[in-house]
Amino acid sequence: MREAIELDTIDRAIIDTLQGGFPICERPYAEVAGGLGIAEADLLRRLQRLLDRRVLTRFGPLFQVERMGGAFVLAAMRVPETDWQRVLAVVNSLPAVAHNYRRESERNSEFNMWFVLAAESEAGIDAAIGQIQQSSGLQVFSFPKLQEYFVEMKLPVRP
Amino acid sequence: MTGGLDPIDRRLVLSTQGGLPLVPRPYHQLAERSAFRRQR
Repeated sequence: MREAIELDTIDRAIIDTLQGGFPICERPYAEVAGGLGIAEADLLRRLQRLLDRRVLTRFGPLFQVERMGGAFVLAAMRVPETDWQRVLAVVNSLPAVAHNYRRESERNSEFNMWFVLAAESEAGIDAAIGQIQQSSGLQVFSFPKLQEYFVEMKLPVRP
Repeated sequence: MTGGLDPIDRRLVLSTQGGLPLVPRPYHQLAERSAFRRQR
């Protein structure tokens, strides 16, 4: 396991505060910094450090691609152990692959590679699936969303 | 369903995919980077 990075109280307050949104105004960092009682330059420096240390992987807006006419889909494959690295390289080489995880169930599900495809259109999803199947020689099972019930992601990081 | 993104919206989405610039006026920098005309 990677060594955890030490975050001080201000770093934690920054992460907590920014999960609630980010202002759209001329000096947004100054506005957020003011609320936290620190200087704008300090906030920028701390955010850069959190990014450099990969505590944050990205700082910026997240777009709902479905609202823009795009599409997301969860997909899974049954990848033989001996073929794992080759198939992993095939899947990860596609720009439409947003996440890719190895996941296995104790209850004998044969699916072990799970990934999310995101594209500007439904056709882009189909094309990505077709390409993965062709290059890997394995079948891709897609799990389209039927209904969205709840989406919220805020993680309190107070000590 | 299409979200009706115009070409400028699309450029804005693309230009922030890597994140928001860590500079005091990030939206100005996006505007300049994407050659948007700022309204003053």
